[in-house]
Amino acid sequence: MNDIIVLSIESSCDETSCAVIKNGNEVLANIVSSQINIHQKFGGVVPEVASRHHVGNITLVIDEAIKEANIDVKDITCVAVTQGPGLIGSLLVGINAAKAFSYAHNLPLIGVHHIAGHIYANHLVQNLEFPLLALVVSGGHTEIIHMTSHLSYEVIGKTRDDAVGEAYDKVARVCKLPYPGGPHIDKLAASGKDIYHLPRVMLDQDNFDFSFSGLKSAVINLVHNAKQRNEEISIPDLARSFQESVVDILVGKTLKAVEKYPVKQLLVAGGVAANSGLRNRLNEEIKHYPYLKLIIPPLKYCTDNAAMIGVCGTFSYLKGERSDLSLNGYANLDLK
Amino acid sequence: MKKLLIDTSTNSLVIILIDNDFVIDYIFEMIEKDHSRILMPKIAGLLQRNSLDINDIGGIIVANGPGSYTGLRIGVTVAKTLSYTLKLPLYKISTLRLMSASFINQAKYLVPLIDARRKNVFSCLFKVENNKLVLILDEKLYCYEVLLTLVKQHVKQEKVCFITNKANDLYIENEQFQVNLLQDYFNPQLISNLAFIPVTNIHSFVPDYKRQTEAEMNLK
Repeated sequence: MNDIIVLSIESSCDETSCAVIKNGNEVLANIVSSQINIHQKFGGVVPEVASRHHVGNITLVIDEAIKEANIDVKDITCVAVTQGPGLIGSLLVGINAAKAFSYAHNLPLIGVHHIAGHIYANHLVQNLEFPLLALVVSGGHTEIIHMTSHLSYEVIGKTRDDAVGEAYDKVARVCKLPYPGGPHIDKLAASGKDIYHLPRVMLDQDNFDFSFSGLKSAVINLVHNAKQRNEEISIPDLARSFQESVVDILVGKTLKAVEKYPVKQLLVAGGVAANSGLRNRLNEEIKHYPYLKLIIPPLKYCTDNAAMIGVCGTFSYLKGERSDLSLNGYANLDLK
Repeated sequence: MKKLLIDTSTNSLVIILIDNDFVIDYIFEMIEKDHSRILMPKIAGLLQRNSLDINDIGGIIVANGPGSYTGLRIGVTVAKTLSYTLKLPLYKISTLRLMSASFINQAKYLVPLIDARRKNVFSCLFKVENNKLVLILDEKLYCYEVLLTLVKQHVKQEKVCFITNKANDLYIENEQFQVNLLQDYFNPQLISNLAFIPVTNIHSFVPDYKRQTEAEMNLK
């Protein structure tokens, strides 16, 4: 059988990325051009700024990926690209580059859902086995997804307001920590104590949904009230208290889902999967479920990258899914 | 050598197929906001109906602004990707020149207008000399009222042809200043006669937005 070589592009937020994936599990190249230091001075991703930088990076990352993979364009089987959800201006750069590239070389084109990509990043660690549950946690998403076979997704729980990564960024801003806030809070939390006892919103409810805006407000109020009373807030303790609350909620809901849906694997995906508090707790809790395999991708496949899009694109290709040149981007896109 | 010209910077979609300075075929459509979905199918369709494929093309020309930010990115991204991956020379042309080219026989002074919201326009003043567009007022963002004053200073009593893609209550006509719609005069042959500028570094090529993002302006 011939090798399946997928050239994949991801540009849904502030990373311009192109990867080359062989047979769905071998990363021949994964070039990521991050704009983090550009958006840091704004305290968060500015969509128009991100879109402008994508245009200046896009052909460069494609060129680097092809060179690093050491392949010829004629070795490529198909082109896969993130079609949403994400920042629309950013998505459109990757999508139009993918369309032009596929047209130039007469290659099949495949649109990939960004969250599906995050889930399939786990396939680079270990082959997916079904049924499985995936906890998707990032700056834009907080979802629990149930899968019984490849490319079939049932969202059993999701956030009703802020995504967990968004809450991290906002709390970091209140604590005057630089963007992106997650890694800073994670680091500070290690030296703090959970003394502020923040709420565990929705944890006792009989569903798999999340809410983080209340938790975020609780932190803001705490800091505000302390300031008015001229009291000192310990930032490491606040970071730890916030992180403990987040981890209790995420892990609590996930374990409830594991009880209800007997699955073989539990996957964690998205940028917040890099959080050490979350990783440690899951590694600890999973010991109570000897038949359940926990998979957490390495850091470089947790944050946005094109490799994950290429892996998911490979399965879509094998299933016969194809997009035509009218493929478009969608800021909001349901996972079906 | 055949070249493909792409302009997605305004509410029209322009694709022109040029063979040694002569227009073989073209597409000019008013589409508002759907460039991302339809640009590639339209390029493919234009080539196909002329029994050509992309490998018959020897160069890409793209309008690089000013204009709609999203529109510009779509055209420039497609142009630079085709040019990079097929190793084709890439040329750029200002959107304001491209809009004005169809009018060089209509008046001595041309003012192309692209709405930039809040009574601002991306614009400039061209004087037509020997069938060429000579830039008199720089291509940039103007408050419309200021632009009118500057234009009057330069043209004195001479007539001026204002060019727009979309009617706008802001643009008031009188004896001296006429407002014309591009779609009524669109002339692909006159566009193909423009002097296109070679792009030397394809990777770093980006649209000429003529305006910083709001976030960047607020930072100062």
